[in-house]
Amino acid sequence: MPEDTVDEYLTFSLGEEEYAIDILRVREIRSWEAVTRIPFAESWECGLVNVRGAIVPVVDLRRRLGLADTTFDKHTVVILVGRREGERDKVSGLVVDQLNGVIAAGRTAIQDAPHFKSRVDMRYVAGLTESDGRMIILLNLDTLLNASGEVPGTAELEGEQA
Amino acid sequence: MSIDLSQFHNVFFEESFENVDVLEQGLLELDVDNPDAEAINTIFRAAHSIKGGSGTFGFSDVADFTHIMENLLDDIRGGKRGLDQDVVDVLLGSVDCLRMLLSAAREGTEPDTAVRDAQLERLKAALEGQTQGGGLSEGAKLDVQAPEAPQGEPVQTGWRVVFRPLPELAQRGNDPLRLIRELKEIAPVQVSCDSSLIPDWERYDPTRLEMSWTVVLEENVPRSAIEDVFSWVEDECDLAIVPVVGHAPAGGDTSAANESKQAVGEVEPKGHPPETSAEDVQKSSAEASGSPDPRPSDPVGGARPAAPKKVPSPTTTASQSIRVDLPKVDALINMVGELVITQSMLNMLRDEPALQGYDRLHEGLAQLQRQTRALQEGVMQIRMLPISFCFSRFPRMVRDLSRQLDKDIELVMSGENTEVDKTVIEKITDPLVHLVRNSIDHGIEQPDVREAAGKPRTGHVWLKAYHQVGNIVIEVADDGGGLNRDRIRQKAVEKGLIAADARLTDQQIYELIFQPGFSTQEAVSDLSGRGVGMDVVRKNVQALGGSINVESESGKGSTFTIRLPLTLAIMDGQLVQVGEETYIIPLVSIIESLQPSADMIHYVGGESETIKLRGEYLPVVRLADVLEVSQLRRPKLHEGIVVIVETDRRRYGLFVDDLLNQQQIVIKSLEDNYHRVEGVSGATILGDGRVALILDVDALHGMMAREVMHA
Repeated sequence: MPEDTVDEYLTFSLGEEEYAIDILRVREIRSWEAVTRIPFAESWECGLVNVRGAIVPVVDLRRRLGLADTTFDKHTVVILVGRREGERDKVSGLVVDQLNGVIAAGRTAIQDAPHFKSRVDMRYVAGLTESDGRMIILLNLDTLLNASGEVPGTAELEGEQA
Repeated sequence: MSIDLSQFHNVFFEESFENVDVLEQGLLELDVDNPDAEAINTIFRAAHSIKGGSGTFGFSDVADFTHIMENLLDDIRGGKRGLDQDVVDVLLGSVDCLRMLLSAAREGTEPDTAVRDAQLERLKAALEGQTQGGGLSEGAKLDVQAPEAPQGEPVQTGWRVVFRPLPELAQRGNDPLRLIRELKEIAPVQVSCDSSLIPDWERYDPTRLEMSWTVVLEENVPRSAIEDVFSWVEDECDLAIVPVVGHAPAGGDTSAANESKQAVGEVEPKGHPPETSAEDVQKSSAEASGSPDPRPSDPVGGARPAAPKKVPSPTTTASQSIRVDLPKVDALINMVGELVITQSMLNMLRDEPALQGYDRLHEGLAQLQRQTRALQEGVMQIRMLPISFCFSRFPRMVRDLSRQLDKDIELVMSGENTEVDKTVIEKITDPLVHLVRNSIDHGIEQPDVREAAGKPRTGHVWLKAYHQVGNIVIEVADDGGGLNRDRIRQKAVEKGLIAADARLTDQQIYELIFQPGFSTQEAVSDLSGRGVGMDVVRKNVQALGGSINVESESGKGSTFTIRLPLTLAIMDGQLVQVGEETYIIPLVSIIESLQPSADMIHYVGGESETIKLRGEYLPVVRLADVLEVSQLRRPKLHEGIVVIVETDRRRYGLFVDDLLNQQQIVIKSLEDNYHRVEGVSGATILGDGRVALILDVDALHGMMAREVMHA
């Protein structure tokens, strides 16, 4: 068996659960600030913020995953992540409760999470892994940030695209 | 000398493509029956520069091809062959081929050799056609096919190079003797110097070179080898490289006699061989005549048809413009955009109670505002280019298409110098091509049809550009048959765009052609109807923040009018408040703002609100409704402000809670990180760092109209 590839993930919490995204997709961490509402947007799109002159949409991750709403304050964190749309690289913000840290996980240590019961919409889950005995849900940013929830192209683990 | 030439490749390609454009334009403007010598010279010069440059940089494909073109042009220039449409066609075809070769060289790909070879054949055929019959001056045949043409011509034994530097050449650090020494390294030479032009001792300036040389190379070396020697002084001298043929190694007189009649006119009283033979001298004699050359100018007087006109020499152009990479300009523009935001942030502080009484601070802020604005306008100017960059392709296109369709069409362009943003030029070209094609293909009738309709046989297509309050207007008009209303209607019914019994005005019918999937042409013609319809044209125009509409009169023609915002990056905006939200209305769309009194408000059908303003009923759009702004309480019309806005044709009121300040805003695209939002043309960043959306008043009206229909 070939040597296992180890990727790093940024972990954060939403409520009681711990989630992770591929760290190579992360551009910047910011604290929450007021957003400008976008007309006709999806309910999980909070609005637009100014990131040094660029206008960036911010996604309410709780709503996107179907979790209960919470109030945002200045301790709330926004993670800016890159995504590819057509020919262009775009940036989105993800609102999360709090950051936890960075974990390393080998590809073999990631299990598929196809059929277990959760409040979380399974389309957005890339797999499950463990760190210090805690279960961590790896998110698929490509489905997550796509309005239709469809997978653009053949996205497996996000690490493939980064 | 080992310099890495690749660093100059970009400049070479840019210049070469410009020269190709010059070539093409020159050919198109050429009056075949009565060609202007200077026009031909300009064309020749463009070809010559491309050849020289491509030779220097080792793009031999391009150099070889251009060389043959140059030979043909040279013959035309020397009067050795007449000029007719067919030759121009061959040359235009060669221009296309040259473009292809240059692109291939730039991309580092293999050129389409089949196309090139076919075109070379055509060029050679044209060249030979002349050798067989068209010779005008005695003995002209001898040096026509000059160096690389393989077919059996008289043996070339060497070259005669006439080199007359501009007097300033030495002042720029070039040494003519070094050049002659370099020639000596290529082949055995005989050098003679003409010093007769050196003025009297009192007027003599030792820093000025007032002499010329004739160098005879006694070996048939490649022409490019000689040109390479002079490549650095090309612009600073008159240079003629003439093949020496037959058995005349010292060759002065033989080839002097070979030159065309025109050269005879150039004979100076002193009659030196260099002058008499050096027809090529004429190519850059413009530069020479511009310099304080002490030799008597044109002593023969009327013997010569027309003195060459003064053309801007490359050196003057160089001092007037510089080439800058676009990203650098864009970075600068972005930076200035940030500055504008910072400035408006500071401006907001002006009203802080704590800062009252600091007069000098306030003065400084006011000054900063003015200067920022001036800086911004200046920077935006950098991106502006005359629209001729886009228009220049049309003469060729119209010419080709009308020949292809056997129609007689004249293109009339105006306002080519109207300046527009570079992005506009890039994005508007395709839609314009489409519109002009449509006019030629569908608009203008066949000459016989036109005559039967009592119209001149020659159809006209007008291409106009001009400024109109805050907009750039581009019109494409023709005097053809106009849009066929019945056919459009019928097609729209077939396509299910309208109901069969729909009552539509003519204008509404014409607007149907902009609907997606609408095309009246039954057969897909070579020209239009390739699936790219007017809807794409409209979409492209809208993507630039503009609008397009059509006017047409049966039998008289149609006019398409495109309106575009002046700049794509900044504008003056009116901030308005709706609920808790702030939006921006472009100031150019606003006619007035008012708080309506209760008696101005009327209801149509009990629901739609209108206000009566100076006898006119205007529909009112509640911004909060169309944009789904959450409001605690729906205000009455007389409690807020109605902003009267004007779009292409219609006026309506936008109802908002309050007017805030006006300010200059930097337009940012929503699509950079998000996607288009209906009713919104972009976004900006306000002084407090928050994002505000810029409203698209045209789209908002449409959205309201739809809402009314659904209601």
